[in-house]
Amino acid sequence: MSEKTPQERLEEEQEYKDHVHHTKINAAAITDHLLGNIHTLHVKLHQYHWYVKGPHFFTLHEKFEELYDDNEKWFDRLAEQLLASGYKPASTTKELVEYSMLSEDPADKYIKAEEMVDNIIDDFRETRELTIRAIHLAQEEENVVFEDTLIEFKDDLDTKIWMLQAFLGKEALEDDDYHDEEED
Amino acid sequence: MQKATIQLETLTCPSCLQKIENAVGNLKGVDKDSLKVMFNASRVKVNFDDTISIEDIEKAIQDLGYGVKRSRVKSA
Repeated sequence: MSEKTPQERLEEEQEYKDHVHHTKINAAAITDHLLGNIHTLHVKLHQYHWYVKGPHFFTLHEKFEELYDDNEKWFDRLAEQLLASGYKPASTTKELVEYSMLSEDPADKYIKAEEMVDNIIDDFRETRELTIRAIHLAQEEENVVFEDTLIEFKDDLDTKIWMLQAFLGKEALEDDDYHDEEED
Repeated sequence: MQKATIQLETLTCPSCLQKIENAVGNLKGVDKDSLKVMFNASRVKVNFDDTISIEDIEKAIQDLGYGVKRSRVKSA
């Protein structure tokens, strides 16, 4: 029997991923979306690092750089964990853009420094929301090491959200739609 | 302006969330900036004016194939 071509193997993989997404989603499939978000954040944090203006320039220029450096570490760490779990993480720009849940805008280069911080908080919160689901799924799948890594990722996001909120003079969970417990 | 909270059947995939966001966000009478789809709570929050009804919004979600459990509407 002849060996499968790379194209055939890719088609098999895509069929498997589609199946997982539309039947029973797992922690790995959610993590593809996390990688997509991290990819968008990589570009967006650079945009803000370059274009931030005003009296907070020196602080935020440096802070955005620190944030994209940390972001980059998670990109590699989460993807490598997926590989170790036998899954194939997204690995091209096109796939990552498709998986990303975050938006970007060339007009953001003109927005106020505080608005930039606020947008990053929103993106971190949206990423945290997906991370929470991934943690629960990893738990169900008894993939404890992956669960642990995801918890660490959430912990890191929690801290960053709290600090950026403090920069804006707000409490950690203030204006957080995901933490609105008024219903049910 | 009215404020709706719509409880959906459990959202399994983040892509569903984007489909719902696009469909509801493009309805006339819906305040796009207020729209938030919460993945883990499987809940939609949105403000809308009197050119559209809560039934229209629910229908837009159901047409995509997602079940609506119940909605709550308050004046905003």
